[in-house]
Amino acid sequence: MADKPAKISTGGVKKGRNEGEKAVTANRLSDGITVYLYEDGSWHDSLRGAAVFEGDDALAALEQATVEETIVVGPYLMDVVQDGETVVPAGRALLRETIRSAGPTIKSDYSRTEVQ
Amino acid sequence: MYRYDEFDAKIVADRVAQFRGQVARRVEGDITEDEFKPLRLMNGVYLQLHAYMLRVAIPYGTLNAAQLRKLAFIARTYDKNFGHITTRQNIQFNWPALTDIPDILDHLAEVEMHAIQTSGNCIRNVTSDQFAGAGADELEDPRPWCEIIRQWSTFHPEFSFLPRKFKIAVTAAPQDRAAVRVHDIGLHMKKNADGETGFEVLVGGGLGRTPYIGQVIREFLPKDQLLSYLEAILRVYNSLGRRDNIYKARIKILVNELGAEAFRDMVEAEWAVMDKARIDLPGDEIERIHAYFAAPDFENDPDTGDFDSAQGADKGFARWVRHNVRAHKQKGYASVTLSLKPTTMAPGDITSEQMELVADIAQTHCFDEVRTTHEQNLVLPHVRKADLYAIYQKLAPYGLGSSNAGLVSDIIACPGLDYCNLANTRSIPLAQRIQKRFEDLDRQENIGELKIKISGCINACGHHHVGHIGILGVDKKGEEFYQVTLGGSAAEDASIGEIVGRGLSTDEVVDAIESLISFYLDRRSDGERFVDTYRRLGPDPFKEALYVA
Repeated sequence: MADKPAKISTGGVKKGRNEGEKAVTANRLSDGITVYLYEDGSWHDSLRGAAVFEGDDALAALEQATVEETIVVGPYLMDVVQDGETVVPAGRALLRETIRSAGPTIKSDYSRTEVQ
Repeated sequence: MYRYDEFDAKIVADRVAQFRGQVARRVEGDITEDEFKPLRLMNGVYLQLHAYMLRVAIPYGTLNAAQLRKLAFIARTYDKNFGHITTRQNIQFNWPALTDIPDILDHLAEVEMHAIQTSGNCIRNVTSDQFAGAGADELEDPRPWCEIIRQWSTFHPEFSFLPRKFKIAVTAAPQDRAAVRVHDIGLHMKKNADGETGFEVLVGGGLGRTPYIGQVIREFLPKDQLLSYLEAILRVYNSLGRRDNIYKARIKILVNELGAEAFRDMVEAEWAVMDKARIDLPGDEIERIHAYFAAPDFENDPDTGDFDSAQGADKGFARWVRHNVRAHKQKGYASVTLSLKPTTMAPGDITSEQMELVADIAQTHCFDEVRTTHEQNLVLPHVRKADLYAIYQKLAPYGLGSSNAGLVSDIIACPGLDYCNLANTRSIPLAQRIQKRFEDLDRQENIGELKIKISGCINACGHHHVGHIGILGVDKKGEEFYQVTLGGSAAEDASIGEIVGRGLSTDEVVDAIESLISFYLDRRSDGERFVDTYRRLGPDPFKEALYVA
């Protein structure tokens, strides 16, 4: 019987398994803004163009992110799906990750366009 | 109010300089996040979903105009132009950059404020009755004792690394407005048979995932022995509180595992052998602290001006007086609750412009004093009745004139999943939907006192366990559901609400709350509040009403 996918932190106090498509997300050290890892290794505050990983590649990307401590805080793997050219949140933490990527739902002034 | 002496000022300035260095070292990579995290938490800095959050201490909820203006400046300069009043009477900023926080702390220090001990496993901000020093029903002003506890607990070396955070509340009125029964230590000032005033001491109350009502371990503690007795309690907790399991580390778990009697025996034994004279303050020091809280220079029976006639002419003012204005111990004066619960803002949020308006009013009409409340509102404690109508007219254009204190729309809600890294569900949008459903003020007034409290996770920051109607957000396979509890209270009749059944979906929950309230209106007897009717009839008929919706 194949081993179960590795157990991973999926943000906050949540745990999950390394199954399916993942993006690496974290908070920027200097201001705490939510950021996402791109293919070229840079971090951006939009999820749309984030790099998507699976399996061991996702774990390797996360491991690399954890050493970038002067750039980001608390990286973890989030569930995503690719919708055409855009990456969007998915899975059990869909609402949490939608709010992280778009901003609080309570006032449009607080949306991510304000912080970019 | 208390004013810093040279030692206070130096301690705070040194702490800001120290934190500035720690932030610089973190940004440069000289210390890791694991090393930095406990340091930032000791300075009130959390990392939430979208940004850092800075929690600023407001000791026992007392502010002056200069402090409120400084908070407005910080909100405008470093945040998104608002702050959020918390259930520990503090204020939080939701959007500061880490690299700006040392400057923010410098600004705070200019007005004798800081963020020390607003996080971490230490003694947190001492909370109290928002009407302290003003309420017609209090035995004496509890704030000098809060200040004495604040000074004793700040940087207390023995209690800087407790098993878990530790919360103390003090009240001096029969009506408990400080929720002392759901605190790690609750102090309720009472008179003994000889007519002396002292403290009833309760321990082991708390909310979170394991809620308990505090238990009395001493019915009467002489005031001048307060600190040594607190120190005895903390020593027993510090020695025996669990450090192996974060969920069992609060004093409430220890007290309830040992039993209140056994815990009390340990405290009394510790207290008996203590060098009390080393710990308890001498009489002249107690008097010195009390002098900071001398009553303002009230006029003797001032004319009440248009107070009565304006209520006849302006029904909105009359309604505001009925719900937001309270009796004051001084004839001709009143205390005013400024509701931070309009439907247009998150419960407890206040903009810079609102802070500045309240600061102006406080300076002109309220002896330079403002209070924050654990129900996430503000209070002007000492206002001449003659000034009330003019104040009311100034508030409305700024969205501060809501006449809903204590009513169904005066909801406590945690920040929830819109901000919080721990939350399962959103709280603020649900609070706003309930406020909207019940926005008709005649309807609210007919319903009467009803405390709705909403938490977005089991940590219970929205105090749902002690809501007359409590609402707990739960995550069911990635969807928001809300579990309802009924019959809770944080007041002198404290009780933990009972879970009445399955969780309700986002679409169901507001209708279900309305159904509960309709049932209450149908079945209440004269003078009964929602919680009274619930206690009389029991959970079953309410459960039926809840799930009929």
